[in-house]
Amino acid sequence: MAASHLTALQEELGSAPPRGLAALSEEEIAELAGALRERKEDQALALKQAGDKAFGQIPRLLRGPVKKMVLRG
Amino acid sequence: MTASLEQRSEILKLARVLWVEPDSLAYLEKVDARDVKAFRLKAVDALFDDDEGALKRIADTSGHIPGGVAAKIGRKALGPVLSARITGLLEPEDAVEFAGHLPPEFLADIAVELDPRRAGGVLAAMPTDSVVEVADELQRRGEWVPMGRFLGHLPLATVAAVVATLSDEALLQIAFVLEDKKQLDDVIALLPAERHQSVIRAAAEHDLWPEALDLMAHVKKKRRRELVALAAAQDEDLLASLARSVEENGLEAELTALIELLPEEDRAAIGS
Repeated sequence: MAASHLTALQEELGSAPPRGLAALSEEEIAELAGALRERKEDQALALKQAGDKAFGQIPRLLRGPVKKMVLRG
Repeated sequence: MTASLEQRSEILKLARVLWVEPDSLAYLEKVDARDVKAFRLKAVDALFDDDEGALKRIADTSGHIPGGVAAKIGRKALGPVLSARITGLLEPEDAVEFAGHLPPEFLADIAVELDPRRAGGVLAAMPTDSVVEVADELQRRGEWVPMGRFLGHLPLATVAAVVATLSDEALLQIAFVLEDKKQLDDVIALLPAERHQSVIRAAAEHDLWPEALDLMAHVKKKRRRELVALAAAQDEDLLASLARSVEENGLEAELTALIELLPEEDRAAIGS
């Protein structure tokens, strides 16, 4: 089981961090978790902005069928 | 505390994934390299697994849009981050068609964001000429970590074409962060003999002795012995630069392990 100070990292990873990271201090773990969180947030923002722009680039005639396919499921 | 070469390589790779300066992760020098690698792979999974269902549906629609239009959408609207995420979900033949409509600069932007583990089929299907163009662009940008991740997913003939275009400096930098270092012996085997010497000289010229020693440590023993003997036969200035680098980087143990491969009478030149 991961050491308790690894919890923040586990939340960002979505799975247990490698045990060797228990050698890090609480501050260092928080710093590493923060770096991963920032990267995830940057990427999520880039993905959202890209998704918002994408439909405008599709030829008008294709927008309906494409939207149906993307939104299905 | 001095980090091992393996730790330094893994910290460089993780820094590239997190888009931070490697120095900001110096505290990971107290963690085993295998754990840093395991963390990096989990971090990549965490970055790529979110929203995969929606992305897969976008990828599926691409088969219904003309290649040129899909490529335009990728470049003008999706951008490299989303394009990279979708690339791994495309059928390889669709991805190759889209790539044919995109300039190498944008393909390089995608390559930097791509997880090659999720795009192995696409990478294997890419025409060699396109891969070489993208590799040229990545080399121009000094994107060694993405290049090190990709080489293991390319057919050997494509690797040979890429390696032929790499500078000696690039070769050392990429070898250091190569994802699967078992591949290094095959990569070095692709080089003509005269490049073995020029790679060693590049280590001195560009202050890349740690990278060169790491390379030597990861090739098969016969080739390792040949490379160490070649290094030992170089001029005094070059050997002095090696000695300085070993001292500065705390690599005495690594150098000693290599020197022991030489016949006793040749050890003094490189070890003094």
